[in-house]
Amino acid sequence: MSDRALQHRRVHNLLLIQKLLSSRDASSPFTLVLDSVEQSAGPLVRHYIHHAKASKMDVVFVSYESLKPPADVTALIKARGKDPSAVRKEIERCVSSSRRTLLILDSLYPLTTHPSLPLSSFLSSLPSPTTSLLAIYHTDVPLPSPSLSSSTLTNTTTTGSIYTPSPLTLLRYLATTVLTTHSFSQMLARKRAKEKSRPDPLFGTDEGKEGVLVGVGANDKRGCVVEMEHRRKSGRGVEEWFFLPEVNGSGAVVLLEDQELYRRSDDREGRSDGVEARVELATFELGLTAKQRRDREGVVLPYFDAQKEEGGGGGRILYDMGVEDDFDEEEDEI
Amino acid sequence: MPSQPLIPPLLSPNLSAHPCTSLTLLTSTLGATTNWLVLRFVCATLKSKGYGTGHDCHITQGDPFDQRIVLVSWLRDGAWWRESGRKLGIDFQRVHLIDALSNGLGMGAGGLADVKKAIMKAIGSKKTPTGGGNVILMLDGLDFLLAATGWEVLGMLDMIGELREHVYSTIIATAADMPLSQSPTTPLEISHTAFVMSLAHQARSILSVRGLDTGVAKDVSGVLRISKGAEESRDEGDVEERECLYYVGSDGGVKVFERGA
Amino acid sequence: MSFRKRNVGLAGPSSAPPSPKDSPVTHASVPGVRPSPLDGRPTTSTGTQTLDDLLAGHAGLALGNSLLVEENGTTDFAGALLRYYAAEGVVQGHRVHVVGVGEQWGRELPGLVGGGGAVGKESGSGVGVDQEKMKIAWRYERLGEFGTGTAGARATPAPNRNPVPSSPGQSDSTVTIPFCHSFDLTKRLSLPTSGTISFTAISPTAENPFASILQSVTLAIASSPPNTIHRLIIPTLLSPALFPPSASHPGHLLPFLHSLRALLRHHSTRMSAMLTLPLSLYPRSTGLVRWIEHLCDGVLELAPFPHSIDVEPPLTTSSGSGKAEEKPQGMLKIHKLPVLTEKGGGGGGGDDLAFSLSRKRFVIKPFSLPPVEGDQEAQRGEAEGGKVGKVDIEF
Repeated sequence: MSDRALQHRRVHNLLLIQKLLSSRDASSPFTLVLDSVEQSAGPLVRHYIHHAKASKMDVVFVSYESLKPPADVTALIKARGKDPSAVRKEIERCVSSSRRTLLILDSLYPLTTHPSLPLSSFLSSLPSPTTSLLAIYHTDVPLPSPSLSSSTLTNTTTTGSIYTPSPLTLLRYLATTVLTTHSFSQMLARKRAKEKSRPDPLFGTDEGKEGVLVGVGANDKRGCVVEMEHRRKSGRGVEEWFFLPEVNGSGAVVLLEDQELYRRSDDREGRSDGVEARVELATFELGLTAKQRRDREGVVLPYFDAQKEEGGGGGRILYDMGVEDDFDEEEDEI
Repeated sequence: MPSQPLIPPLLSPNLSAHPCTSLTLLTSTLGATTNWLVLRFVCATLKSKGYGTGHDCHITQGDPFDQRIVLVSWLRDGAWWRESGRKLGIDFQRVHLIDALSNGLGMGAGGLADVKKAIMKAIGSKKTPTGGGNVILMLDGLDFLLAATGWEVLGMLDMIGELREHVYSTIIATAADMPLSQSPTTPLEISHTAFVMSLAHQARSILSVRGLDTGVAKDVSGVLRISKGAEESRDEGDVEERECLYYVGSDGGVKVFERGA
Repeated sequence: MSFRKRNVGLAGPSSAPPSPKDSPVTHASVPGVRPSPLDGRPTTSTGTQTLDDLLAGHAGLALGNSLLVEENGTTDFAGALLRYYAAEGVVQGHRVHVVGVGEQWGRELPGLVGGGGAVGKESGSGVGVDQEKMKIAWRYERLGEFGTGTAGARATPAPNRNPVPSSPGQSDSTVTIPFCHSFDLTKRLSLPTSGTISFTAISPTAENPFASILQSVTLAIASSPPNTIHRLIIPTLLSPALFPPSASHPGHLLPFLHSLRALLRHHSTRMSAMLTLPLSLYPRSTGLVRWIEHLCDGVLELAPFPHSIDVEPPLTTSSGSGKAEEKPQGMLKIHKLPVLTEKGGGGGGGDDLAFSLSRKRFVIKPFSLPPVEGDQEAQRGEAEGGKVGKVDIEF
């Protein structure tokens, strides 16, 4: 990727995520957050609340599973065990039409498993011109398989018919923005592995180990990685990866590529947090310095030359001696 | 067991510093059970005073008081808990034990409502004396009920949520074997996975035990992985992620140690 | 056979020291029950000596516990273990409850080695001293046999195998029934006429096929004298030959196993249970089977080798690895052990285990590959000129 393209993304996409986080200009009426036990949506939600507070928005938090709501919430609706229609009434009471409001649903599981709720019409009834909806879906919580009996013709409104799309498919379709959270330290480990052409490390239930639910490096304290899929009003889609530091910590939202630890290709940082195995305890240096790497990239290999029109100079080795080279007149020849 | 402390030093920060309203999830596999861990939680809880870190709800003033425990077990009988607990010096005056293996709590016609009623009653009985005792709720094998009855996962989760509102903190022990939590296909498996993963999303920390990945060894019983849950990092004792080995002797004594130590 | 003599010599005195510790246990007097050498809890024999030795050092199945034996394929090695368990119960005068199968199953129990299966007669009529003497004689015979077998097989602290009376030579009135008998599969145990074995049928039409089982066992326990020991046997759980399809519904099966667990714990000094499960119908990768396993106290898996032992040419016997009947017929895996796993200890021992079933016994021992053809070639090659070794070095 050229520097200019990166610079363009840096400017535009960072602006976009800031706009999304502060729910400005009704940029995304329905934001779907896909999280997992490896990285919960918590830090992302705190960013949203932080920004909403800064721009004097109301925050209405609908709690299905959280016992302790996040700080700085304007109104809390305890939805556990309540019927969706009752929840909607409470939401309507809490949301004033004159103020911009961020409405947060902490889990979509109760709605997606509801036996008779038309999910799409329920959700689309929630956002209004002044309200934006942020809803969290846990990707690692499986939904009951659609029962065959409910797919009868008379019962078309029910969810879970085998002919209707799965709730997740439906949600992704309805959402204007889909944000997927990833663990920062696991992303680092993946990148390090890729750089060394090692197979992708697996985490949590993917590890294939009996009894392992959560991977090493889950819910990293330093921040979380967010994968964004945003549909612009023009219909164009934007995809980007961001790094969000903890709200109260220092540092701002950056592109994942610009994240200092992520950008570095040596695995010092990875090692210090224990994600990478402690390998290479050799007494000599195996890594390259920045200058060495630049020099290496600058070397023109013979076959590049040979591919030129005239075939170059045949089997010449194009190499310019540097001061580092220990040239031996008798043994080496150029 | 004079050779080892009752509560392994490596574990003690995870056993006692669970803040108010927190949920701790313990997961086990067939060959690696969490009973020893539950017993250590009971032990540590009874030793600590009711002014845990981050204590900011329910009660804001007053002297520290003893913590009390309501332990409900669907897979192990009361005699077993008492006998194992006695060896650790657990005072069962402060533990309300519901032997749901013997009384089949929740298996009757009353279903989930029975379970809730029985636990609420137990919580109430432990709460009253001095105008507020800290009750810690421990549920062992609730996932069995889910498998045997085929109830809705949501109903179970809602009940747990409601119970959690009435206690200081909650500890839940479930199975997390591969057939029950990975690539589920049957309704039983899907329910189990949904149940366990939902709890994992709500938990402050997840303590998973499993057998050794490399097979069996004479001096290692299994691996314990402590993972950080979704809860926000605060200054107070944050969950520190780690993986260590443990050994449970035939006398019930436990050693927890680092890999390679 | 010098080892036999030594064992006889050992057995006598070694039995004396633990006896003061054992004596307070009330169940010491009950036939077929002895305290665990680890913690003194009452245990009973599975009827298979090497299986008893596997059970986490308790040298028997702790009462109040259940054992699930799973088997891959279509063989019925687990059934043999079940029959030994039943036969041992009959010989010890325990009450044996069998679920699902008909009375024919009970008639096919293996007879005692050398005893001609005379248990029924013996307990029925007042037998003379002669027979008592004979029994002592078998005991020593067997002791030698098993003494070597177990010493080689397991490094578990060898418990006092048999409660030997203080004066082994004399046949006084003391009961001298050993803890674990050996049985001959080709013989038939003659059953006592009284209801030692009871059969509980499974109703093929009932909505919940398990409803009646525990009821009848509970009744039987309640109505029997307090020192009667009960054994519950469930052959091929969920097999379509015995159980209706509704049996495999978790809503029926799991509550049943849960109540069975509760019943076992309630009668923790009077009852044990053994179940077998065909894994080819209900594989271990399913959640249902995992719950069955969670609800049982001990879980063993038999994985028979695909080829039959009879067809195999006796190639290896010539290499001196032992008699043909000692050749392993499959692997045995331990997934969970009674008492120990509940405490949190890891399942299973360190070694790979293999089992072999012969006419006279079921043996479980550490698995080691016999020298196969390839190895022999390698050995020959090495003997010829050490070429193999050289190549290795060069490489």
